[in-house]
Amino acid sequence: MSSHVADVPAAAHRHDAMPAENQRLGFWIFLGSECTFFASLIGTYLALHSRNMQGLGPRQLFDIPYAAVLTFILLASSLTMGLGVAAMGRGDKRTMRLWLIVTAVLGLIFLGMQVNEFATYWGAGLHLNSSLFGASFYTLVGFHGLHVTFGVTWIIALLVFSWRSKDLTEKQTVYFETAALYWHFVDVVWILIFSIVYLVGVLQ
Amino acid sequence: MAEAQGAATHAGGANRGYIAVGVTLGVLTVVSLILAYAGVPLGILIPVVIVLAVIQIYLQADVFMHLNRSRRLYTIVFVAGAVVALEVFLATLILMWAHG
Repeated sequence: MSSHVADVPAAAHRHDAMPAENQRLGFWIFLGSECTFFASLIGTYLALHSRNMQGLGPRQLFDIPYAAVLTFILLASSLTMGLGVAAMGRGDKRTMRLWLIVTAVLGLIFLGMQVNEFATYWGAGLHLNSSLFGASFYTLVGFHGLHVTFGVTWIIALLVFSWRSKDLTEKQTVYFETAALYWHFVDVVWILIFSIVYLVGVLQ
Repeated sequence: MAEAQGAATHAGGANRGYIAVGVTLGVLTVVSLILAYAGVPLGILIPVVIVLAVIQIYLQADVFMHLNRSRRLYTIVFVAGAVVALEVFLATLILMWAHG
């Protein structure tokens, strides 16, 4: 009888914990499917970028030092996001917010620089319909940029919600964790884009 | 008091771990850049750049995405997704080249 009574809080705890675990698992499944999405875009780019080349190609357009700066910005934002989640784990909400603000600012700088890069290429004559290289490049890097945009929006939304509530709830913690996972994943995809599209593209 | 000190030390250690991985990721990017400009033959450069990228991705997933201390199921799900992604990547390349 007593063990049955003792089991009630444990059962209630399991009931509370399950959605959080399910959310984490669901998000990892989503990230797995995102891998497939970007693999198809990168594969398409590699297969198409050198076909029907009309003048402008990676060698003429890509600015590797500029792309390297973009890479360092995203790597730095991954570090600040990691530090923010570590602060959240300690219950240090103030430090967590600070690191998340830095992460969002770095993400916005990345986006600004990418818009500038696209504008430069567009101005040089590389359009979506000018060649298969243009179509596959803008699609791949543009979709990555959309993911960064969504990530920044997510971080800003979480910051706003965190200011409105006094303490971090389990639910909010899961939201922050999944946002961090998403941000690191976006960084992982950029590492691939930088290595395969930019570095190898210019040297081929 | 001792508990608070212990927590602070643990927090400092975790932060140092993150910073070490962040610096390593930056260094690996610099190495890729140096190799790209050093005139290394393309047959050697491409596999090396890809291996460096894979190491960076591993560090990101293991440390920043906490796969090293999360449930094993998350690793299985993510790696399964990555394997399917690799298959899709190869299938796309073969399909496009076969019709080239």
